[in-house]
Amino acid sequence: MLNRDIVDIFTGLALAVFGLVIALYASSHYQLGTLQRMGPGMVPMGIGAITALLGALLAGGGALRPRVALSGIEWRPLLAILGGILTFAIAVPRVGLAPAIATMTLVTSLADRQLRLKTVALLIVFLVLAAIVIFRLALGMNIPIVRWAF
Amino acid sequence: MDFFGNLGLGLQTALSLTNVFYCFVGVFLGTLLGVIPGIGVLAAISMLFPITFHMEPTSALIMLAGIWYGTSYGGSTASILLNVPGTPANAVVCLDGYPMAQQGRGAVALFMTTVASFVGGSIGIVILTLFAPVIAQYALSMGSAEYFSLMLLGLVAATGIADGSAVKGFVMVMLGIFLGGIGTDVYTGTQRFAFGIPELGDGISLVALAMGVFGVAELIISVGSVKGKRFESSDLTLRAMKPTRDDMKRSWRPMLRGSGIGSFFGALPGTGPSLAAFIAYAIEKRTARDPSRFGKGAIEGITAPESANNAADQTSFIPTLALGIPGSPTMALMLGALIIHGITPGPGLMTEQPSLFWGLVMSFWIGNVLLVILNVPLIGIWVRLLAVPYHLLFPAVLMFICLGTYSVNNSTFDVLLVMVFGALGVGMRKLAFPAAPLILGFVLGPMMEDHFRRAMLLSSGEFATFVQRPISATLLAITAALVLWSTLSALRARRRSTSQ
Repeated sequence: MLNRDIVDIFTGLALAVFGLVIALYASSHYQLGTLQRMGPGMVPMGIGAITALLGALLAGGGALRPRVALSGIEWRPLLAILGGILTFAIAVPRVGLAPAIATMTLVTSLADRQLRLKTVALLIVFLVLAAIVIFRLALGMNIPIVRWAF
Repeated sequence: MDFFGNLGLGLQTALSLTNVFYCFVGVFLGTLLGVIPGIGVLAAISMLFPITFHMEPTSALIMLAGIWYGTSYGGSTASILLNVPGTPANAVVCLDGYPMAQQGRGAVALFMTTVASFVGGSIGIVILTLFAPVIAQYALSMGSAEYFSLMLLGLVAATGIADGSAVKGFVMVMLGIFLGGIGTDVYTGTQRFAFGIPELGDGISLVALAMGVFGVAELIISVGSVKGKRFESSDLTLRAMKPTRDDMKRSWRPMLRGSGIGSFFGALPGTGPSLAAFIAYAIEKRTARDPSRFGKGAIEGITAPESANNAADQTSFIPTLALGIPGSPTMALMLGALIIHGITPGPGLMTEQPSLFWGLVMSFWIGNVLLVILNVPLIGIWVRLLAVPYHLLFPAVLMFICLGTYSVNNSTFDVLLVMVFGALGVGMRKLAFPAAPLILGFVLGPMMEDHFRRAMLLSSGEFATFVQRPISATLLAITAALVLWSTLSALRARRRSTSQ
């Protein structure tokens, strides 16, 4: 078992469970209707069932194949960039555009070790100006540049 | 209105100052984002998609389309100078373009790819102009059963032909259809899979999905892998670009063949510029008198695929505009832009919105001419851009993604969705699940469900309606043949790999 393609077996099984959950949820919460007059649950149930089937196929295929090495995830860029998006989403409605871009750039720049603080500061100034020109002046959007809303 | 009247109307629309401006913005950004490796056309379009909400629909489409065919021009620059494809459709140009650059013929290669792109683009536009109205006329008689079967064919073609495991592709289609179905059911008003979250009741936004799965995921992967690569700084003056007579003599036939191949594969739903470029290259290599020249800087090896991918860029608008069926995720985004502006894509588009359709088509001419200017005299600018370190580019790209998504509905929920889908996108790449079928399923899924339910209603619940109607039956037969063919070739490939 351990020398088989474990990655495919696990993702396949996970997908099969996911598909079954969708199918069961759809059929128990939404009306199925008849073939002629389908309710809102019919198509999601079908999609869930097909997903479950494909998941099983994938797992079965994985069991027939030898193990394949999986390239690891580089956590630093992943967390820095997702974190940057998160800080932007939290900051923009509360403190406005400029601080949101600044915090986003700060967090995001952690993805790459090569960035120095001075470069980041210059980058922030440039990006805030670019955002104001493109989104506020050219596209006429109404996001406050700085605000305080807690 | 007659054919020439339409062309005149289109030219008039396309030549308005606003539209020429947006056409320029589109092709400029397309070249820019095409030149930078790691930002594919889908990421490029999804990044700029939100801006189109604030524009006229015709200008919006002209700009998005400009990005689409502009990246094909720009993408070959990185392929030739860095041996890194700017976009997947230009990958095959690396094979002979990079050796040419090493031999000091980089300038000639850049010039010839631009010429080839222009030839391919022009032929593609002519074919689009001639065939799209005919197909739309024919499509007016199609019912829900036919539409369902056609979309099924498109989905199967896109999934079966894409590289990698077909099962994984179909899983992605299903996931896409599931995500597309979240929100309010149009027939009953039932909220599906919304779990009481009001934002989910309106459905997941295509922008957030595309930005996350393509834009953010691509960034995360590229930050780790794209390090500053040095390139041969070749002499890029106009004089150095002048091809020899032999170059021209060898190139014009491959360009025409490439354009033909590209036009055909571009118009088929599910296939597209990348596949067209590969096939054009393979055909040139197979029919060449001396195949050993390929891979060592053969000029045919860059002109044929470049013509093919540009022709395919143009003809992929045929199913999108004439039938309302996007043949690729990029086209799905184009249709998304139309739908958001309240325009229903489909065979009626040409008659209901003649200035939009013909204006868009005529703008392709303007865009292609602008691209030749951008890529021949101004090539030096783009080459210098390749020297900008990537760690300065990615925060800028991310700012655009975040602010762009937020600007659509002033919704932080959408920005958070981008984050979630970004994580999903990275996971999908690591596990080798293709992303394109996900977007296609997301866009086509709700349309297919609608047509499926309507067809079943009309047939009193008989599945037979899909095979009794001749057009629908033909489409389903092609779909079945495609499934059979891809299963057989997968089995054969497996048998070959185990016997070795």
